[in-house]
Amino acid sequence: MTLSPAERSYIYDSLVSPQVARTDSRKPTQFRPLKATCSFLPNSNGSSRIFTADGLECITSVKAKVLRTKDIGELIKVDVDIQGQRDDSDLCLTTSSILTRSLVDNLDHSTLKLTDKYYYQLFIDIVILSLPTDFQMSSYTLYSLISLTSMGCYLALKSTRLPLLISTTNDKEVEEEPTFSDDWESCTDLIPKDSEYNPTLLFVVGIVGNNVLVDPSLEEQQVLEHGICVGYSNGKIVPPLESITLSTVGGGGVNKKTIFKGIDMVRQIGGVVEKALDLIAEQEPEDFERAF
Amino acid sequence: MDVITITQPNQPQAEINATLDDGDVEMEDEELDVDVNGGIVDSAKSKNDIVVPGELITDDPSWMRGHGTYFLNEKTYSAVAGTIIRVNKLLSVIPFKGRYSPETGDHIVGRIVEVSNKRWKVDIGAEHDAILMLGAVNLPGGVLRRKSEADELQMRAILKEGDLLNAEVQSLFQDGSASLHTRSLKYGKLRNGVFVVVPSNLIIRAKNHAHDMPGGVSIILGVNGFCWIYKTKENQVPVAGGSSTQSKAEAGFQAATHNGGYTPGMGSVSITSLEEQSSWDIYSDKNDTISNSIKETISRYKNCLLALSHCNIAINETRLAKAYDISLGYGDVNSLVNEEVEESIGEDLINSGKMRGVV
Repeated sequence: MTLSPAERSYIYDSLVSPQVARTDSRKPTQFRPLKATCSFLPNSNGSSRIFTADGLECITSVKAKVLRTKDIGELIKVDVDIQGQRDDSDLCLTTSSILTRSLVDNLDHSTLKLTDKYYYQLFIDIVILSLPTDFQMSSYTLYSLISLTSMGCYLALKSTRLPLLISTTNDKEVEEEPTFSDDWESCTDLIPKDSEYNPTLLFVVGIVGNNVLVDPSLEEQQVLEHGICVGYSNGKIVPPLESITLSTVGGGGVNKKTIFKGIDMVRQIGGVVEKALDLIAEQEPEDFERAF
Repeated sequence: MDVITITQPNQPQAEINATLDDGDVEMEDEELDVDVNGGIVDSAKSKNDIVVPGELITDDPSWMRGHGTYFLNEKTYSAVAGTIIRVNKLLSVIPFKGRYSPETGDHIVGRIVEVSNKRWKVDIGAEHDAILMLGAVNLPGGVLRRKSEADELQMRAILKEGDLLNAEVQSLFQDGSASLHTRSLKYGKLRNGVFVVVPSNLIIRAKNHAHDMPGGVSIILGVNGFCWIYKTKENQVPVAGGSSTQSKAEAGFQAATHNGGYTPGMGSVSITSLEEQSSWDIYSDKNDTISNSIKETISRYKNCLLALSHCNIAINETRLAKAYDISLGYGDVNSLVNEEVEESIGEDLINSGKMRGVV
């Protein structure tokens, strides 16, 4: 999508002015409305479906497997499949590697620990349905997907249920394979309600002049000078924290203060986004079909 | 203030099942009716002749098959989802949704996608890109003149890729693609505003598609569903006239230098150079200064348009003005992003229409 110079300067002037006027009249800290639902895939431990008004849709499934390992780096496997893209395309690989890193780096290992030797291994499969054509040729794709998929992962992990462990958790002396209860009614949450741990959320913040904007839309990113991708978990800023280029034109330097301003903004709104997602994760659809 | 709104998609499954069941029942009825009618199956449905793709319209081969239908084993089926239209013996189906199909005389908004030999290709949201011939635009130079070779060489100085313009469909080619013209002062390059796309079937065809709205904002509702909301021009003075020409020339000159490029007529010493420069400002890329309040009004209109499109309400300027009025009651403009607000604006609009006895 190319904007005409007049449109571009209109949008740029609106965004750069002290009273930020975004094209869709959002506030700088406001997200576009999202729709989401949880636990609708019957044969996976946790699942979520999240989509935006402009047609990006992401379905996430979490499946768990018992693994005997000491290497906690391989406990989470993320696989991203994007409609219309090859499995080994840059977009798929980058998205999955950023998500894997962000989740593994901030993982609370006790949630996955069964015994001293056995851990749960989580397979997170993400499908992106329908990528609008405007997005396909844009660097924006990656960063709009990352934010959305990280929310999808968050919801799926929050809604993940695992069977109850009935064998002992202490197998230092006796080699014992974990055994589970057959009764699905007595399943446990992967992340208990009272747990302090929350999966990492990724935010994309656009920088224009001295202003920072969260969740830039496709039109906005065309005129943005710079952007940052920030991870957020449990009230803290966590890795990855990277500088990104959202538009192919303009560019230019970015002030150190503006980057901190962006990070501060994520710190402020991160909790609100977590709460909004938690609300969705708590609501259980009455039956699986309701999700669609 | 809401940072984020996440809602559950709500489509009660029970209701969907119910409507599906109804549909099945009706279809059975139709099959029974076929023999009675001996003609169009759907004529039994007096309410509305709505068909889905693949649905049998008639098994009577005497009907002529028009757009949106196909013929198989002496039976006519619908190729699209839409309503049946009969003109004498011609049977066609008008689709509910679909790409815009241009008609001569339509006032449309488009975006240049390609500059090629003596013509521009314009994206108008139709099946094919429309064509704008170099000879069909107002050439810079003050007076209506014929195109010259110099014009052919610098077409990008007039319109380039990405530029938005409004134009009229001049004629149609065999394959349904359109040829445009901008030979009027109301057509040409668009500035000072924002671009909004709504489905083309929602735009009500009217005599006039460019309107000045309350709040110092004007709008072009392109028949192809592309709309342009912009600041109303302050002083629409006639082109001729001493001081205004002078200032226009300056504006044109500034625009040209801002463009950072060569402008024909810029260094010339001809008597008409002032006039030549002045006419370049119709192709300027520079926006006027727009106050924040106007910008807010523009984005409010944009959200109103999107709200109408979200609620699938056909759009004309009176409805848009009404929607704008209603939206003022929802306070801050950023609340209009919310889907619920969009829906309630649509409801309010329909209710107020009902009260006045229109809609």
